[in-house]
Amino acid sequence: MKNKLALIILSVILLASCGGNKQKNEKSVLSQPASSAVEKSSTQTEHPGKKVYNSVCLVCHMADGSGVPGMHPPIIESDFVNGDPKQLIKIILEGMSGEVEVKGEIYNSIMPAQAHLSNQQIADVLTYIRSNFGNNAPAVSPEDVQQLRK
Amino acid sequence: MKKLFPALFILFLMFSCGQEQKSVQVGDPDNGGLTLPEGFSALVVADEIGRGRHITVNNNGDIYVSLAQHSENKGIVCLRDSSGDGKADIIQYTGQHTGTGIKLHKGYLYFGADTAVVRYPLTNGELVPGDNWQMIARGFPNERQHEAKPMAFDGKGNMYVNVGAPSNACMEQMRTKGSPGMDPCPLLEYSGGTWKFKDDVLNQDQMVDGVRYVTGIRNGMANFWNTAVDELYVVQHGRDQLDQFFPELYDSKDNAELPAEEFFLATEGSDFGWPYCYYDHLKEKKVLGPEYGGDGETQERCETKSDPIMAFPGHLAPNDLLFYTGNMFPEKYKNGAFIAFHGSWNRAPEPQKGYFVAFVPFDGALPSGDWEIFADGFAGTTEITSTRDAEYRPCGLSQGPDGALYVVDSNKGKVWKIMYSK
Ligand code: HEC
Repeated sequence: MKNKLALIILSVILLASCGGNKQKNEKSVLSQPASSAVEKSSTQTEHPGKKVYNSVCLVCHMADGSGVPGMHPPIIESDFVNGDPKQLIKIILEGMSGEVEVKGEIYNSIMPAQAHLSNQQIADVLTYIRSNFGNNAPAVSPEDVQQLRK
Repeated sequence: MKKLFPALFILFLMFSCGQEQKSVQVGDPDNGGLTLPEGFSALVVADEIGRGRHITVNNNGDIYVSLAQHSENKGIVCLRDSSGDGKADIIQYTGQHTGTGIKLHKGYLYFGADTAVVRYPLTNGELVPGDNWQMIARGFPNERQHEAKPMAFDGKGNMYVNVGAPSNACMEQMRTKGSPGMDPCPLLEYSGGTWKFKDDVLNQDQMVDGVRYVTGIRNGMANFWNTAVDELYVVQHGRDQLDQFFPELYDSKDNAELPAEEFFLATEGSDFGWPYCYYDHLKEKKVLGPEYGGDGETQERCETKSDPIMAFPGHLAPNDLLFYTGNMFPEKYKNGAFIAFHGSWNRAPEPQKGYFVAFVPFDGALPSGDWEIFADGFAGTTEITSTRDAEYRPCGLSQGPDGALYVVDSNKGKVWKIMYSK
Protein backbone atom coordinates (compact mmCIF):
# COMPACT_ATOMS: atom_id res chain seq x y z
CA MET A 1 0.00 0.00 0.00
CA LYS A 2 2.73 2.34 0.99
CA ASN A 3 4.55 1.37 -2.14
CA LYS A 4 1.46 1.86 -4.23
CA LEU A 5 0.83 5.30 -2.75
CA ALA A 6 4.45 6.27 -3.30
CA LEU A 7 4.13 5.12 -6.86
CA ILE A 8 0.97 7.16 -7.43
CA ILE A 9 2.43 10.25 -5.80
CA LEU A 10 5.59 9.83 -7.78
CA SER A 11 3.73 9.44 -11.04
CA VAL A 12 1.54 12.47 -10.25
CA ILE A 13 4.64 14.51 -9.55
CA LEU A 14 6.25 13.19 -12.70
CA LEU A 15 3.20 13.93 -14.77
CA ALA A 16 2.82 17.38 -13.37
CA SER A 17 6.46 18.26 -13.79
CA CYS A 18 6.41 16.62 -17.15
CA GLY A 19 3.45 18.72 -18.17
CA GLY A 20 5.11 21.74 -16.74
CA ASN A 21 8.23 21.01 -18.63
CA LYS A 22 6.32 20.46 -21.76
CA GLN A 23 4.66 23.83 -21.43
CA LYS A 24 7.97 25.45 -20.78
CA ASN A 25 9.50 23.69 -23.71
CA GLU A 26 6.69 24.69 -25.96
CA LYS A 27 7.13 28.28 -24.98
CA SER A 28 10.83 28.39 -25.64
CA VAL A 29 10.66 26.31 -28.80
CA LEU A 30 7.75 28.31 -30.10
CA SER A 31 9.19 31.67 -29.18
CA GLN A 32 9.57 32.55 -32.84
CA PRO A 33 6.29 31.23 -34.21
CA ALA A 34 4.59 32.67 -31.15
CA SER A 35 5.09 36.18 -32.50
CA SER A 36 3.37 35.16 -35.72
CA ALA A 37 0.57 33.81 -33.59
CA VAL A 38 0.39 37.23 -31.99
CA GLU A 39 0.33 38.82 -35.42
CA LYS A 40 -2.39 36.46 -36.44
CA SER A 41 -4.52 37.32 -33.47
CA SER A 42 -3.92 41.02 -34.07
CA THR A 43 -5.07 40.71 -37.70
CA GLN A 44 -8.22 39.20 -36.32
CA THR A 45 -8.74 42.36 -34.35
CA GLU A 46 -7.00 44.48 -36.97
CA HIS A 47 -6.73 48.20 -36.44
CA PRO A 48 -9.72 49.71 -38.28
CA GLY A 49 -7.38 52.32 -39.78
CA LYS A 50 -5.39 49.61 -41.56
CA LYS A 51 -8.38 48.77 -43.70
CA VAL A 52 -8.73 52.41 -44.74
CA TYR A 53 -5.00 52.65 -45.39
CA ASN A 54 -4.97 49.53 -47.56
CA SER A 55 -7.96 50.54 -49.63
CA VAL A 56 -7.18 54.25 -50.07
CA CYS A 57 -3.59 55.20 -49.28
CA LEU A 58 -1.54 52.08 -50.05
CA VAL A 59 -1.69 52.54 -53.81
CA CYS A 60 0.41 55.71 -53.55
CA HIS A 61 2.27 55.40 -50.25
CA MET A 62 2.90 51.63 -50.62
CA ALA A 63 2.30 48.73 -48.20
CA ASP A 64 5.40 49.55 -46.16
CA GLY A 65 4.75 53.31 -46.24
CA SER A 66 7.91 53.95 -48.27
CA GLY A 67 6.14 55.90 -51.04
CA VAL A 68 7.42 56.22 -54.62
CA PRO A 69 10.76 57.96 -55.25
CA GLY A 70 10.33 61.45 -56.70
CA MET A 71 6.55 61.11 -56.72
CA HIS A 72 4.81 60.10 -53.50
CA PRO A 73 6.64 60.84 -50.23
CA PRO A 74 7.11 58.17 -47.56
CA ILE A 75 4.99 58.29 -44.43
CA ILE A 76 7.65 56.36 -42.49
CA GLU A 77 9.05 58.47 -39.62
CA SER A 78 7.49 61.52 -41.25
CA ASP A 79 7.31 64.89 -39.47
CA PHE A 80 3.94 65.48 -41.10
CA VAL A 81 2.56 62.27 -39.64
CA ASN A 82 4.02 62.76 -36.15
CA GLY A 83 3.49 66.50 -36.04
CA ASP A 84 0.50 68.81 -35.56
CA PRO A 85 -2.66 66.70 -35.97
CA LYS A 86 -4.53 69.70 -37.45
CA GLN A 87 -2.07 69.96 -40.32
CA LEU A 88 -2.25 66.22 -40.85
CA ILE A 89 -6.06 66.17 -40.91
CA LYS A 90 -5.99 69.04 -43.42
CA ILE A 91 -3.74 67.03 -45.74
CA ILE A 92 -6.41 64.34 -45.84
CA LEU A 93 -9.40 66.72 -46.12
CA GLU A 94 -7.91 69.18 -48.59
CA GLY A 95 -5.11 67.23 -50.25
CA MET A 96 -1.62 68.59 -50.66
CA SER A 97 0.42 70.06 -53.50
CA GLY A 98 3.59 71.97 -54.20
CA GLU A 99 7.14 71.54 -53.09
CA VAL A 100 7.54 69.67 -49.85
CA GLU A 101 10.52 68.09 -48.13
CA VAL A 102 10.04 64.70 -46.51
CA LYS A 103 12.95 62.82 -44.98
CA GLY A 104 15.49 64.94 -46.79
CA GLU A 105 13.98 64.55 -50.24
CA ILE A 106 12.00 67.12 -52.21
CA TYR A 107 8.62 66.21 -53.68
CA ASN A 108 6.57 68.45 -55.90
CA SER A 109 3.44 66.58 -56.73
CA ILE A 110 -0.26 66.45 -55.86
CA MET A 111 -2.14 64.40 -53.33
CA PRO A 112 -5.87 64.36 -54.05
CA ALA A 113 -8.19 65.34 -51.17
CA GLN A 114 -9.76 62.38 -49.38
CA ALA A 115 -12.71 64.30 -47.95
CA HIS A 116 -15.11 61.57 -49.10
CA LEU A 117 -13.89 59.50 -46.14
CA SER A 118 -15.97 59.77 -42.95
CA ASN A 119 -14.67 61.49 -39.82
CA GLN A 120 -14.33 58.06 -38.25
CA GLN A 121 -12.38 56.66 -41.20
CA ILE A 122 -9.99 59.62 -41.24
CA ALA A 123 -9.49 59.42 -37.47
CA ASP A 124 -8.85 55.69 -37.79
CA VAL A 125 -6.37 55.92 -40.63
CA LEU A 126 -4.44 58.77 -39.03
CA THR A 127 -4.36 57.03 -35.66
CA TYR A 128 -3.12 53.94 -37.48
CA ILE A 129 -0.30 55.66 -39.38
CA ARG A 130 0.69 57.66 -36.28
CA SER A 131 1.32 54.41 -34.40
CA ASN A 132 2.87 52.40 -37.26
CA PHE A 133 5.52 52.86 -39.97
CA GLY A 134 8.06 53.95 -37.34
CA ASN A 135 5.80 56.78 -36.13
CA ASN A 136 4.78 57.41 -32.56
CA ALA A 137 2.17 60.08 -31.93
CA PRO A 138 -1.16 60.27 -30.08
CA ALA A 139 -4.46 59.18 -31.60
CA VAL A 140 -6.72 61.42 -33.68
CA SER A 141 -10.44 61.52 -32.86
CA PRO A 142 -13.42 61.90 -35.23
CA GLU A 143 -14.23 65.15 -33.38
CA ASP A 144 -10.80 66.54 -34.29
CA VAL A 145 -11.62 65.82 -37.93
CA GLN A 146 -15.13 67.30 -37.74
CA GLN A 147 -13.73 70.56 -36.36
CA LEU A 148 -11.69 71.07 -39.52
CA ARG A 149 -14.34 70.17 -42.04
CA LYS A 150 -15.58 73.18 -43.91
CA MET B 1 62.72 45.72 -101.79
CA LYS B 2 64.62 46.42 -98.60
CA LYS B 3 62.49 49.51 -98.01
CA LEU B 4 59.32 47.45 -97.98
CA PHE B 5 60.01 45.94 -94.60
CA PRO B 6 59.99 49.14 -92.53
CA ALA B 7 56.92 50.26 -94.44
CA LEU B 8 55.17 47.02 -93.57
CA PHE B 9 56.29 47.37 -89.99
CA ILE B 10 54.81 50.82 -89.73
CA LEU B 11 51.60 49.60 -91.27
CA PHE B 12 51.51 46.79 -88.75
CA LEU B 13 52.04 49.22 -85.90
CA MET B 14 49.24 51.46 -87.13
CA PHE B 15 46.94 48.51 -87.49
CA SER B 16 47.64 47.06 -84.06
CA CYS B 17 47.38 50.50 -82.55
CA GLY B 18 43.91 50.93 -84.02
CA GLN B 19 42.97 47.50 -82.74
CA GLU B 20 44.16 48.32 -79.30
CA GLN B 21 42.13 51.48 -79.04
CA LYS B 22 39.06 49.56 -80.02
CA SER B 23 39.57 46.84 -77.44
CA VAL B 24 40.22 49.20 -74.52
CA GLN B 25 36.57 49.32 -73.48
CA VAL B 26 35.41 46.18 -71.77
CA GLY B 27 32.32 45.53 -69.73
CA ASP B 28 32.59 45.46 -65.95
CA PRO B 29 32.97 41.91 -64.56
CA ASP B 30 29.38 42.02 -63.28
CA ASN B 31 28.09 44.12 -66.21
CA GLY B 32 27.21 46.80 -63.68
CA GLY B 33 24.57 44.46 -62.22
CA LEU B 34 22.70 44.06 -65.51
CA THR B 35 21.64 40.89 -67.26
CA LEU B 36 21.96 41.11 -71.04
CA PRO B 37 21.62 38.87 -74.09
CA GLU B 38 24.57 36.74 -75.24
CA GLY B 39 27.47 38.79 -76.57
CA PHE B 40 26.51 42.02 -74.78
CA SER B 41 28.36 43.58 -71.88
CA ALA B 42 27.94 46.75 -69.82
CA LEU B 43 30.16 49.09 -67.90
CA VAL B 44 29.22 51.73 -65.36
CA VAL B 45 30.04 55.13 -66.85
CA ALA B 46 29.16 57.12 -63.72
CA ASP B 47 27.31 56.65 -60.46
CA GLU B 48 25.40 58.83 -58.03
CA ILE B 49 25.25 61.88 -60.27
CA GLY B 50 21.74 62.83 -59.06
CA ARG B 51 18.26 61.72 -60.03
CA GLY B 52 18.79 61.22 -63.76
CA ARG B 53 15.95 61.60 -66.21
CA HIS B 54 17.00 61.55 -69.88
CA ILE B 55 20.41 61.31 -71.53
CA THR B 56 22.04 62.32 -74.81
CA VAL B 57 25.50 61.57 -76.22
CA ASN B 58 27.47 63.86 -78.53
CA ASN B 59 29.51 62.73 -81.57
CA ASN B 60 32.70 63.10 -79.54
CA GLY B 61 31.35 60.87 -76.76
CA ASP B 62 30.45 63.66 -74.30
CA ILE B 63 27.35 62.75 -72.31
CA TYR B 64 24.59 65.01 -70.97
CA VAL B 65 22.03 63.92 -68.39
CA SER B 66 18.98 65.91 -67.27
CA LEU B 67 17.93 66.12 -63.63
CA ALA B 68 14.38 66.86 -62.51
CA GLN B 69 15.65 68.17 -59.20
CA HIS B 70 18.73 70.09 -58.21
CA SER B 71 19.19 72.44 -55.27
CA GLU B 72 20.71 75.17 -57.47
CA ASN B 73 18.61 74.33 -60.55
CA LYS B 74 21.72 73.00 -62.24
CA GLY B 75 19.75 70.36 -64.05
CA ILE B 76 22.40 69.40 -66.64
CA VAL B 77 25.13 66.92 -65.77
CA CYS B 78 28.01 66.92 -68.27
CA LEU B 79 30.19 63.81 -68.39
CA ARG B 80 33.41 63.20 -70.30
CA ASP B 81 35.66 60.18 -70.56
CA SER B 82 39.11 61.59 -71.26
CA SER B 83 41.03 58.33 -70.85
CA GLY B 84 39.06 56.22 -73.31
CA ASP B 85 38.02 53.44 -70.95
CA GLY B 86 34.35 54.35 -71.20
CA LYS B 87 34.13 55.67 -67.62
CA ALA B 88 33.46 59.35 -67.11
CA ASP B 89 36.38 61.05 -65.36
CA ILE B 90 35.14 64.64 -65.75
CA ILE B 91 31.71 65.41 -64.30
CA GLN B 92 30.32 68.95 -64.21
CA TYR B 93 26.96 70.46 -63.32
CA THR B 94 25.51 73.38 -65.19
CA GLY B 95 22.34 75.06 -66.43
CA GLN B 96 19.56 77.11 -64.87
CA HIS B 97 16.69 74.69 -65.43
CA THR B 98 15.63 71.30 -64.21
CA GLY B 99 13.49 68.90 -66.19
CA THR B 100 13.51 65.79 -68.34
CA GLY B 101 13.95 66.40 -72.09
CA ILE B 102 17.58 66.69 -73.25
CA LYS B 103 18.81 66.42 -76.83
CA LEU B 104 21.68 67.68 -78.96
CA HIS B 105 20.47 69.40 -82.08
CA LYS B 106 22.03 71.90 -84.49
CA GLY B 107 24.96 72.59 -82.19
CA TYR B 108 22.79 73.31 -79.17
CA LEU B 109 21.76 71.34 -76.14
CA TYR B 110 17.95 71.47 -76.10
CA PHE B 111 16.45 71.10 -72.65
CA GLY B 112 12.84 70.35 -71.75
CA ALA B 113 12.27 72.23 -68.54
CA ASP B 114 8.79 71.40 -67.32
CA THR B 115 7.15 74.61 -68.52
CA ALA B 116 9.39 75.48 -71.48
CA VAL B 117 11.86 74.15 -74.01
CA VAL B 118 15.15 76.07 -73.98
CA ARG B 119 18.54 75.56 -75.60
CA TYR B 120 22.09 76.07 -74.39
CA PRO B 121 24.88 76.87 -76.89
CA LEU B 122 27.74 74.37 -77.27
CA THR B 123 31.25 75.29 -78.32
CA ASN B 124 33.18 72.75 -80.34
CA GLY B 125 35.48 70.72 -78.11
CA GLU B 126 34.12 72.16 -74.88
CA LEU B 127 32.22 69.91 -72.56
CA VAL B 128 30.14 72.43 -70.63
CA PRO B 129 27.56 74.41 -72.64
CA GLY B 130 27.38 78.19 -72.32
CA ASP B 131 25.06 79.87 -69.83
CA ASN B 132 23.33 82.13 -72.34
CA TRP B 133 20.33 79.95 -73.03
CA GLN B 134 17.53 80.83 -75.43
CA MET B 135 13.79 80.28 -75.12
CA ILE B 136 12.42 78.07 -77.90
CA ALA B 137 8.91 77.17 -76.74
CA ARG B 138 6.99 78.30 -73.68
CA GLY B 139 3.55 78.58 -72.17
CA PHE B 140 3.23 74.95 -71.10
CA PRO B 141 1.12 74.35 -68.04
CA ASN B 142 2.85 72.87 -65.02
CA GLU B 143 0.31 71.17 -62.92
CA ARG B 144 2.71 68.88 -61.12
CA GLN B 145 1.63 65.73 -62.88
CA HIS B 146 2.98 64.29 -66.12
CA GLU B 147 4.96 67.51 -66.48
CA ALA B 148 7.98 66.07 -68.36
CA LYS B 149 8.65 67.80 -71.70
CA PRO B 150 10.84 65.56 -73.84
CA MET B 151 11.38 66.62 -77.46
CA ALA B 152 11.87 64.75 -80.74
CA PHE B 153 13.37 66.28 -83.91
CA ASP B 154 12.48 65.25 -87.46
CA GLY B 155 15.56 66.73 -89.11
CA LYS B 156 13.29 68.83 -91.29
CA GLY B 157 13.09 71.86 -89.06
CA ASN B 158 10.48 70.65 -86.59
CA MET B 159 10.42 69.78 -82.93
CA TYR B 160 7.73 67.59 -81.29
CA VAL B 161 7.05 68.07 -77.59
CA ASN B 162 5.11 65.76 -75.31
CA VAL B 163 2.53 67.68 -73.29
CA GLY B 164 1.21 65.19 -70.74
CA ALA B 165 -2.28 65.68 -69.35
CA PRO B 166 -2.26 66.81 -65.69
CA SER B 167 -4.84 64.19 -64.87
CA ASN B 168 -5.56 60.47 -64.56
CA ALA B 169 -8.77 60.13 -66.59
CA CYS B 170 -10.08 63.71 -66.73
CA MET B 171 -12.33 63.31 -63.71
CA GLU B 172 -14.05 66.50 -62.56
CA GLN B 173 -12.37 66.12 -59.19
CA MET B 174 -8.83 64.84 -59.37
CA ARG B 175 -8.53 61.12 -58.64
CA THR B 176 -11.68 61.05 -56.54
CA LYS B 177 -13.97 58.07 -56.37
CA GLY B 178 -17.38 58.78 -57.88
CA SER B 179 -16.32 61.92 -59.74
CA PRO B 180 -17.49 61.74 -63.38
CA GLY B 181 -15.25 62.15 -66.43
CA MET B 182 -15.54 65.56 -68.11
CA ASP B 183 -17.05 65.24 -71.56
CA PRO B 184 -15.59 66.73 -73.66
CA CYS B 185 -12.37 66.80 -71.65
CA PRO B 186 -11.17 70.43 -71.63
CA LEU B 187 -7.59 69.40 -70.84
CA LEU B 188 -7.19 68.13 -74.42
CA GLU B 189 -7.09 71.71 -75.68
CA TYR B 190 -3.67 72.30 -74.17
CA SER B 191 -2.38 68.86 -73.11
CA GLY B 192 -2.82 65.14 -73.60
CA GLY B 193 -0.91 65.03 -76.88
CA THR B 194 2.16 66.07 -78.84
CA TRP B 195 2.69 69.67 -80.00
CA LYS B 196 4.77 70.60 -83.04
CA PHE B 197 7.06 73.65 -83.14
CA LYS B 198 9.80 75.02 -85.39
CA ASP B 199 13.11 73.73 -84.11
CA ASP B 200 15.02 77.02 -84.18
CA VAL B 201 12.52 79.84 -83.90
CA LEU B 202 12.79 81.63 -80.57
CA ASN B 203 9.97 82.42 -78.13
CA GLN B 204 7.22 80.27 -79.61
CA ASP B 205 4.11 80.07 -77.47
CA GLN B 206 2.36 76.70 -77.22
CA MET B 207 -1.15 78.01 -77.82
CA VAL B 208 -0.16 80.59 -80.47
CA ASP B 209 2.68 79.05 -82.46
CA GLY B 210 2.46 75.39 -81.53
CA VAL B 211 0.34 72.94 -83.51
CA ARG B 212 -1.39 69.99 -81.90
CA TYR B 213 0.13 67.14 -83.93
CA VAL B 214 -1.56 64.15 -82.27
CA THR B 215 -4.03 63.96 -79.39
CA GLY B 216 -5.56 61.54 -76.91
CA ILE B 217 -2.25 60.62 -75.25
CA ARG B 218 -2.32 60.75 -71.46
CA ASN B 219 1.43 61.08 -71.03
CA GLY B 220 3.84 60.20 -73.81
CA MET B 221 7.21 61.00 -72.35
CA ALA B 222 8.81 58.24 -74.44
CA ASN B 223 8.85 59.93 -77.86
CA PHE B 224 11.21 59.57 -80.81
CA TRP B 225 11.37 60.43 -84.49
CA ASN B 226 12.15 57.26 -86.43
CA THR B 227 14.25 58.40 -89.40
CA ALA B 228 13.92 55.01 -91.14
CA VAL B 229 10.28 55.78 -91.95
CA ASP B 230 10.11 59.48 -91.05
CA GLU B 231 7.38 59.15 -88.44
CA LEU B 232 6.92 60.07 -84.79
CA TYR B 233 6.50 57.24 -82.27
CA VAL B 234 5.23 57.63 -78.72
CA VAL B 235 4.78 55.19 -75.84
CA GLN B 236 2.02 56.15 -73.42
CA HIS B 237 1.70 55.87 -69.65
CA GLY B 238 -1.80 54.43 -69.32
CA ARG B 239 -4.30 55.46 -66.68
CA ASP B 240 -4.23 54.30 -63.04
CA GLN B 241 -6.53 53.12 -60.28
CA LEU B 242 -9.34 51.32 -62.17
CA ASP B 243 -10.04 49.10 -59.15
CA GLN B 244 -10.04 51.97 -56.65
CA PHE B 245 -12.61 54.07 -58.43
CA PHE B 246 -14.64 51.20 -59.91
CA PRO B 247 -14.39 48.24 -57.53
CA GLU B 248 -17.65 46.83 -58.90
CA LEU B 249 -15.98 46.39 -62.33
CA TYR B 250 -12.32 45.69 -61.52
CA ASP B 251 -10.39 44.00 -58.72
CA SER B 252 -6.78 44.68 -57.82
CA LYS B 253 -5.57 41.89 -60.11
CA ASP B 254 -7.43 43.43 -63.08
CA ASN B 255 -5.95 46.80 -62.20
CA ALA B 256 -2.41 45.41 -62.08
CA GLU B 257 -2.67 44.32 -65.74
CA LEU B 258 -4.99 47.00 -67.13
CA PRO B 259 -4.89 49.10 -69.09
CA ALA B 260 -2.05 48.36 -71.51
CA GLU B 261 0.87 50.71 -71.90
CA GLU B 262 0.39 51.60 -75.58
CA PHE B 263 3.04 52.04 -78.28
CA PHE B 264 1.81 54.49 -80.95
CA LEU B 265 2.79 55.21 -84.51
CA ALA B 266 1.88 58.87 -84.15
CA THR B 267 0.97 59.94 -87.67
CA GLU B 268 -0.22 63.53 -87.86
CA GLY B 269 -3.83 64.03 -86.80
CA SER B 270 -4.16 60.73 -84.90
CA ASP B 271 -6.40 60.50 -81.85
CA PHE B 272 -5.50 57.69 -79.47
CA GLY B 273 -8.54 58.09 -77.24
CA TRP B 274 -7.42 59.31 -73.79
CA PRO B 275 -9.32 60.01 -71.52
CA TYR B 276 -12.40 58.37 -73.01
CA CYS B 277 -10.81 55.07 -73.95
CA TYR B 278 -8.10 52.67 -72.90
CA TYR B 279 -6.61 49.63 -74.62
CA ASP B 280 -7.25 46.19 -73.13
CA HIS B 281 -4.40 44.02 -74.41
CA LEU B 282 -6.09 40.84 -73.17
CA LYS B 283 -9.26 41.54 -75.17
CA GLU B 284 -7.20 43.26 -77.88
CA LYS B 285 -9.46 46.26 -78.25
CA LYS B 286 -9.98 49.84 -77.21
CA VAL B 287 -12.79 50.05 -74.68
CA LEU B 288 -14.75 52.92 -73.15
CA GLY B 289 -13.34 54.06 -69.80
CA PRO B 290 -15.56 53.60 -66.74
CA GLU B 291 -15.61 57.38 -66.10
CA TYR B 292 -17.49 57.63 -69.41
CA GLY B 293 -19.95 54.85 -68.77
CA GLY B 294 -17.77 51.94 -69.91
CA ASP B 295 -18.07 48.49 -68.39
CA GLY B 296 -14.79 47.04 -69.62
CA GLU B 297 -16.46 45.65 -72.78
CA THR B 298 -18.35 48.46 -74.49
CA GLN B 299 -16.39 50.23 -77.23
CA GLU B 300 -18.78 52.95 -78.41
CA ARG B 301 -16.74 55.98 -79.58
CA CYS B 302 -13.50 54.06 -78.97
CA GLU B 303 -14.05 51.97 -82.08
CA THR B 304 -12.83 54.86 -84.20
CA LYS B 305 -9.79 55.80 -82.12
CA SER B 306 -6.34 54.77 -83.33
CA ASP B 307 -5.06 51.48 -81.92
CA PRO B 308 -1.53 50.97 -80.64
CA ILE B 309 1.01 49.08 -82.79
CA MET B 310 2.00 47.14 -79.67
CA ALA B 311 0.66 46.83 -76.13
CA PHE B 312 2.55 46.13 -72.92
CA PRO B 313 1.21 45.06 -69.50
CA GLY B 314 -0.17 47.83 -67.29
CA HIS B 315 1.78 50.46 -65.33
CA LEU B 316 5.29 49.48 -66.51
CA ALA B 317 5.92 53.21 -67.09
CA PRO B 318 7.63 53.69 -70.49
CA ASN B 319 9.93 56.65 -69.82
CA ASP B 320 12.08 56.72 -72.95
CA LEU B 321 12.15 55.40 -76.51
CA LEU B 322 14.93 55.08 -79.07
CA PHE B 323 15.15 53.58 -82.55
CA TYR B 324 18.54 51.95 -83.04
CA THR B 325 20.55 53.08 -86.05
CA GLY B 326 24.04 52.03 -84.96
CA ASN B 327 26.36 49.40 -86.41
CA MET B 328 27.65 47.87 -83.20
CA PHE B 329 24.68 45.63 -82.34
CA PRO B 330 23.67 42.57 -84.42
CA GLU B 331 21.47 42.99 -87.48
CA LYS B 332 18.21 42.17 -85.68
CA TYR B 333 18.48 45.37 -83.65
CA LYS B 334 18.82 47.67 -86.66
CA ASN B 335 15.92 50.13 -86.81
CA GLY B 336 14.25 48.34 -83.90
CA ALA B 337 13.00 50.13 -80.79
CA PHE B 338 14.43 50.18 -77.28
CA ILE B 339 12.08 51.27 -74.49
CA ALA B 340 13.12 52.13 -70.92
CA PHE B 341 10.41 50.93 -68.55
CA HIS B 342 10.80 52.87 -65.31
CA GLY B 343 8.76 50.28 -63.35
CA SER B 344 5.35 50.41 -61.75
CA TRP B 345 3.76 51.77 -58.58
CA ASN B 346 0.10 51.36 -59.45
CA ARG B 347 0.25 47.55 -59.45
CA ALA B 348 0.07 47.63 -55.62
CA PRO B 349 -1.03 45.59 -53.73
CA GLU B 350 0.01 43.11 -56.44
CA PRO B 351 3.78 42.79 -57.03
CA GLN B 352 5.36 45.63 -59.03
CA LYS B 353 6.74 45.10 -62.55
CA GLY B 354 8.91 46.77 -65.16
CA TYR B 355 12.34 48.18 -64.25
CA PHE B 356 13.92 46.92 -67.49
CA VAL B 357 14.84 47.98 -71.01
CA ALA B 358 12.75 46.20 -73.65
CA PHE B 359 13.45 45.67 -77.33
CA VAL B 360 10.87 45.61 -80.14
CA PRO B 361 12.08 44.38 -83.57
CA PHE B 362 10.83 46.45 -86.52
CA ASP B 363 10.38 45.93 -90.22
CA GLY B 364 9.59 49.30 -91.74
CA ALA B 365 6.98 51.24 -89.81
CA LEU B 366 5.64 48.30 -87.79
CA PRO B 367 6.97 45.75 -85.29
CA SER B 368 8.11 42.52 -86.93
CA GLY B 369 7.89 40.38 -83.80
CA ASP B 370 7.00 40.39 -80.13
CA TRP B 371 8.80 42.52 -77.56
CA GLU B 372 11.46 41.05 -75.30
CA ILE B 373 13.38 42.14 -72.24
CA PHE B 374 16.79 43.38 -73.40
CA ALA B 375 18.45 44.63 -70.21
CA ASP B 376 17.24 43.56 -66.78
CA GLY B 377 18.53 43.46 -63.22
CA PHE B 378 18.24 47.22 -62.54
CA ALA B 379 16.07 46.59 -59.50
CA GLY B 380 18.64 44.26 -57.94
CA THR B 381 15.82 41.98 -56.79
CA THR B 382 12.97 40.14 -58.45
CA GLU B 383 10.46 40.70 -55.70
CA ILE B 384 9.29 44.27 -55.73
CA THR B 385 6.33 45.05 -53.50
CA SER B 386 7.02 48.74 -53.00
CA THR B 387 8.56 50.79 -55.78
CA ARG B 388 11.39 51.74 -53.45
CA ASP B 389 12.48 48.10 -53.26
CA ALA B 390 14.03 48.62 -56.70
CA GLU B 391 17.62 49.80 -56.34
CA TYR B 392 17.81 51.37 -59.80
CA ARG B 393 15.13 52.40 -62.30
CA PRO B 394 15.97 52.85 -66.00
CA CYS B 395 14.59 56.21 -67.14
CA GLY B 396 16.52 57.47 -70.18
CA LEU B 397 18.24 56.02 -73.27
CA SER B 398 20.73 57.27 -75.83
CA GLN B 399 22.85 55.85 -78.61
CA GLY B 400 26.58 56.63 -78.59
CA PRO B 401 28.63 57.49 -81.70
CA ASP B 402 30.12 53.97 -81.61
CA GLY B 403 26.64 52.40 -81.56
CA ALA B 404 26.63 51.55 -77.84
CA LEU B 405 23.41 52.04 -75.85
CA TYR B 406 23.49 54.31 -72.80
CA VAL B 407 20.97 53.96 -69.98
CA VAL B 408 20.46 56.34 -67.05
CA ASP B 409 18.81 55.51 -63.70
CA SER B 410 16.55 57.89 -61.80
CA ASN B 411 17.09 56.66 -58.24
CA LYS B 412 20.75 57.44 -57.73
CA GLY B 413 21.93 58.53 -61.13
CA LYS B 414 23.84 55.54 -62.41
CA VAL B 415 24.80 55.51 -66.09
CA TRP B 416 25.54 52.31 -68.00
CA LYS B 417 27.09 51.82 -71.42
CA ILE B 418 25.89 48.62 -73.08
CA MET B 419 28.15 47.22 -75.79
CA TYR B 420 28.26 44.26 -78.12
CA SER B 421 31.22 42.27 -79.32
CA LYS B 422 31.27 38.96 -81.16
C1 HEC C 1 -2.95 59.46 -55.63
C2 HEC C 1 -1.87 59.24 -54.71
C3 HEC C 1 -2.08 59.46 -53.21
C4 HEC C 1 -3.05 58.92 -52.39
C5 HEC C 1 -4.19 58.01 -52.79
C6 HEC C 1 -2.72 59.37 -51.05
N1 HEC C 1 -1.62 60.18 -51.06
FE1 HEC C 1 -0.75 61.07 -49.46
N2 HEC C 1 0.47 62.11 -50.69
C7 HEC C 1 0.56 61.94 -52.06
C8 HEC C 1 1.46 62.93 -52.60
C9 HEC C 1 1.84 63.09 -54.07
C10 HEC C 1 1.91 63.71 -51.51
C11 HEC C 1 2.88 64.91 -51.59
C12 HEC C 1 2.20 66.12 -52.19
C13 HEC C 1 3.17 67.22 -52.55
O1 HEC C 1 4.14 66.96 -53.26
O2 HEC C 1 2.95 68.37 -52.13
C14 HEC C 1 1.28 63.14 -50.32
C15 HEC C 1 1.51 63.59 -49.02
C16 HEC C 1 1.05 62.95 -47.88
C17 HEC C 1 1.44 63.27 -46.53
C18 HEC C 1 2.41 64.35 -46.11
C19 HEC C 1 3.84 64.04 -46.48
C20 HEC C 1 4.35 62.76 -45.84
O3 HEC C 1 4.74 61.88 -46.59
O4 HEC C 1 4.33 62.65 -44.62
C21 HEC C 1 0.76 62.41 -45.71
C22 HEC C 1 0.85 62.33 -44.21
C23 HEC C 1 -0.07 61.59 -46.55
N3 HEC C 1 0.13 61.93 -47.86
C24 HEC C 1 -0.94 60.62 -46.07
C25 HEC C 1 -1.88 59.97 -46.86
C26 HEC C 1 -2.94 59.13 -46.35
C27 HEC C 1 -3.15 58.80 -44.89
C28 HEC C 1 -3.65 58.72 -47.42
C29 HEC C 1 -4.91 57.86 -47.43
C30 HEC C 1 -6.03 58.38 -46.71
C31 HEC C 1 -3.03 59.25 -48.61
N4 HEC C 1 -1.97 60.02 -48.22
C32 HEC C 1 -3.45 59.02 -49.93
C33 HEC C 1 -0.12 61.01 -52.81
C34 HEC C 1 -1.20 60.27 -52.37
